[in-house]
Amino acid sequence: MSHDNLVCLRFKDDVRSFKAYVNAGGYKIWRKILLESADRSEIIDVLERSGLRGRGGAWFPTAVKLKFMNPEDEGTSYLVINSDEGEPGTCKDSHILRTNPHQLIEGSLIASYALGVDVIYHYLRGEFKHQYDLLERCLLEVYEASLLGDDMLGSGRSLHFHNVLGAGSYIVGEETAMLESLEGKRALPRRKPPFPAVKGLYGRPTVINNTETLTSIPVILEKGSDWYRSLGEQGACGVKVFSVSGHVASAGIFELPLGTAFSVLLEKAGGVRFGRKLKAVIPGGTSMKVLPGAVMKDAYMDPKHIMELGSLIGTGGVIVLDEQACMVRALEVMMSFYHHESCGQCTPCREGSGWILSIIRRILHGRGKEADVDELVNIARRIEGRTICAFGEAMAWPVTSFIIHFREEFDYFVKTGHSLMSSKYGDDGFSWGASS
Amino acid sequence: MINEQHDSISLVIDGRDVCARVGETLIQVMDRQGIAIPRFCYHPDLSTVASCRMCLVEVDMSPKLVPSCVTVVHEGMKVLTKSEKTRQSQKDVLQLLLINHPLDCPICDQGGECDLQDLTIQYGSGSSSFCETKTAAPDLDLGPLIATHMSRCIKCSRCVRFGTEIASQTELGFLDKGDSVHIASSLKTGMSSPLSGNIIDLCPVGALTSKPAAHTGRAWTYHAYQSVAAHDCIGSQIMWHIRYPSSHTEAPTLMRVVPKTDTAINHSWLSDVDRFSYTGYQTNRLTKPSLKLDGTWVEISWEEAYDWLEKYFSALEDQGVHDALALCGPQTTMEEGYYLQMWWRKLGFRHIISDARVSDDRDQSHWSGSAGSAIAWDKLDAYEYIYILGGDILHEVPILAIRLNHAMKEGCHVTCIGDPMSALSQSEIISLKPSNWLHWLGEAHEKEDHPLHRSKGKTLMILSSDVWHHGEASSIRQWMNLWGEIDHHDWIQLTDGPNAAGLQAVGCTPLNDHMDTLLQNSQGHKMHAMKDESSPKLVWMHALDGMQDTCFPKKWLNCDTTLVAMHYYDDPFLREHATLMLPLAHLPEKQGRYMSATGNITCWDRGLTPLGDALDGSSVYVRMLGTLPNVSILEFSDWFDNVSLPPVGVYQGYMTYDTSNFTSIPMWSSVRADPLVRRARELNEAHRDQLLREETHDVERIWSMSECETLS
Repeated sequence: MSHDNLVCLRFKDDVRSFKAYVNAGGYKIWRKILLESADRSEIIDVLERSGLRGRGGAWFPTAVKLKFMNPEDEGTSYLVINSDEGEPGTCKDSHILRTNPHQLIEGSLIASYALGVDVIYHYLRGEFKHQYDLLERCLLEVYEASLLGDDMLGSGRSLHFHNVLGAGSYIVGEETAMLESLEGKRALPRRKPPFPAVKGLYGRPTVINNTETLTSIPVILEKGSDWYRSLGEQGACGVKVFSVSGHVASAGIFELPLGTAFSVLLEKAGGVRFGRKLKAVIPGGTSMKVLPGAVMKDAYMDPKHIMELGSLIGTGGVIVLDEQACMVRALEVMMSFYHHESCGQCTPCREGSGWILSIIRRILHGRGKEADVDELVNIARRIEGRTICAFGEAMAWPVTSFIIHFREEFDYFVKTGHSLMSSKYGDDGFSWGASS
Repeated sequence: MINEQHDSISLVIDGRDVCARVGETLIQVMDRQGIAIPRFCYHPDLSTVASCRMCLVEVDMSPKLVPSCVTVVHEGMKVLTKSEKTRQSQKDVLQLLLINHPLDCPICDQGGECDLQDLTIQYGSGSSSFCETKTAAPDLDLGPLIATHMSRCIKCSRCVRFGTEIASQTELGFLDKGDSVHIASSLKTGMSSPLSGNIIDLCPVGALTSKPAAHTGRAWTYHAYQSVAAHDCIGSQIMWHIRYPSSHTEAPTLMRVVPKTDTAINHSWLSDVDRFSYTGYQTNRLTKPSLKLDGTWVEISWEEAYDWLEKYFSALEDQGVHDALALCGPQTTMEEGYYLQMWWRKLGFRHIISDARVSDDRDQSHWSGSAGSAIAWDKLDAYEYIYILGGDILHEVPILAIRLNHAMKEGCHVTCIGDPMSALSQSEIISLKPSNWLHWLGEAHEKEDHPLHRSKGKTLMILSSDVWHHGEASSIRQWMNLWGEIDHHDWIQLTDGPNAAGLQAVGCTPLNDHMDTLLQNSQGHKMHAMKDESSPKLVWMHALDGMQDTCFPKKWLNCDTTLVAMHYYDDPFLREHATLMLPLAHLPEKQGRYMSATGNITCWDRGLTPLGDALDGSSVYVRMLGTLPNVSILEFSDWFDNVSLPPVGVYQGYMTYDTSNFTSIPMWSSVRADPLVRRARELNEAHRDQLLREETHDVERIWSMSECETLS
């Protein structure tokens, strides 16, 4: 039986309007919770049993995160929806927002109920203007239906929801930087502790969840935690929206059970382009370590399994590189991104990002030195684990893993001044015309 | 101190058992224990950001190194500050800081007192593996006081945090991101904060340095002399940095002024006026005694000057003149004031006035030293309400503004009464003309909704220097005294200059029971009574810039009044009107004492040799006392050691004042009228708005202003 598209991408029809979503069975759970004044801890229990983990890339158990909030705290508390999908190679949240906005709203409302929060802030990436407009329209409909706002469905409860459009920064996707940005400041990650669940937005307890995580909640509550668990394969729980890009024939977004074989995922994306061989895969957005194609060939997309292989599944943004791709060039593309997006707060990341990029660029210009490759690894190691947020790792991991797995390409470039790939294939693998 | 057992926790740092308080951060514990830990962004008086990553240390139970500036200690914690992992991290972070830092230490003013330089010597490697192009940043124009070299900036954000957290005036911030992140000033207008100079001290590298002191010397060649700031009544503790030349023929030079940390007074901050006024010490100094003979000035020796004075005073005595007036400037030391008043009283003169800009001193005999309750600057956050009557606290006493800002953050309600334009930012404001102040106070007990009526919390009333100059100052203080006693509230009178309280204490006042009894003298006239008198025969001015520092009518000088001035500067006004000018040693050139408004006495030692023939006022007055017959001089030190000054905060006696006939005398703020500040060029350029340098010495204009209200 196919387990494709069962949770976040479950609707085949257009459910962007409130009416269509309700006709498709939407807001049933939320109505029920509101009218029956459901027990909060029961909702969290269901989520806990479902094994749902944060889909933003860190895979933190959602129920545990929700339990961090002190239910006794009487002041205002917040839920922040993280739709600042900036991880290169990832476009799943964008797709969910475009196609299934009401399910996200419903999931957020349920989570807010379970947490007892008063205000939801939905932070959208600056580039998501279309999705922002759509979400604003959806909100109006939900407010009108009294499923949101003051005295929802006469239950006496009130809850408010605000969409906020970002200003275009990668680091604002980091949860504490997002809080700073919401407060109107520069998006600089905060140090932890205090954790947001204790002191978050405006100094109040705050939970920040990924769009995909929250969108899964209504389905889990509707069909039960056992159903959701059973979707996973190879011992994993639930499903994940993967976005496959890079050197594949037809890049796309696929909701598949966790534990699906990588080969199945690759097949769905049409296989490696031009019938070439698989060289390498970055399994979860560029911040994760690259894995050689030989390793990935038999892998299955389960967070635990990928971790054992030496990388992380992250956001599920799978980037495929074919046999002709030049890894030096690929790393340069990634590092220009990280150099541009470092917030500049911590010394190692601020200074190291520029240093790494200038060495790689020097190598690409044929002015590499023998010690450069080792130096790149050294600099990356100096950054890793020494910064406030995880950006340090996000930048260091690609560098170390690229060099560990494809060292001969770097050494060749340094020695000869041109790419091993171009001498082999007459192209460094970044053009989209078939070379042979 | 750790007193209670349950408040203390023990941890192990480098194998050493250490006690700490609950809630303390690692760096606080290590600083107290003398365990060196490198840091750049951490500063004990600012919020912590943990961004420089220099203070990362290895602790058990954490796979990652933790920043010691924000990591709170817990029981049984094991910290390794010298482990291989910690050392390696310190080396690596330092290397990353250095890759884009210019190697211009030889021409950098921070050299010798640069945190980055010091730590590079400790942790840095002798060679660099960095062979790329260094990033550079354009310099900022922060005005004439602060020189910037932004390529040296290590983005520690101390200067930014100082603006928002301490000065409550955000003028700097970050722009851009990644390694292009840089400090920028809002609106590109430089800095207008009267506390801007503190960012020079805060900057751990040479990005922000002092412009007036640029390229003049090296920190390690300076000798530090402890002293006290001379421009407000706070008593900020400072250090004079003096350089002694290698050659014996050259005189030592005052290179700069920096704050001396005193948590009870100025913390580690200093106002720009106190920091940069030193540039005016050498400007246009009077170096030789000069006598005006037939309209031309002739330089004479001190002996000739003494002779002239002796003859002049015996002539006065022969004529039976007793209405000579001595005026001393606000920067007169306690010693000078003591000997001057003793000499003046021995001569039989009645009038000696230490603050020539006070118009209502009727209550003067009721207090000696400071006026008001015994308060401490570092305890302001203990008050629930603080009211400030008049004045521009931020520009006149910036250190007090820092304290008030802090109190506001701690939940104290601060209200400024007077001109809304000069109120503290974030304070509540009551707009009130000076002429209505006394009336407004009088209503406090009658009106239910009067702010001073709410006697629920501990309240402090700060009387600004506007009250000091106010035409009904005595009545206001009298009212405050009663209010304070009845409702158990505190009040304090801020004064002009650094030593108004000290000069009161040593007897530089027309009425001083202590001195008059000591010297068996008749009492003089108070200031307010003198204005109506005819011009005195002799006016002796000590450290005053002509008539612009006083509120006396110019007409006095058009009659046959003789003006003798003992002054630091060759002032054009004195050149026009004086008969004899005597060069006075400036503050660093003599030993002295100042008493702050809270009664805190600071003594300093002589650091420089006096310029030219300038002399300490005390030695001149002692010499003149010696020429009088049958005089035994009670040395200042003997008097000072044995005298029991009235305790601070005692305002003795009550008296009913007639409150009519007095109008405020609008004057420049004490800072603007300060003879030293007027001559500090950079300071005047930087704070032109506040320190409008008055080129004209038109006293008539000031006098006529007394008829109208300045604050409308």
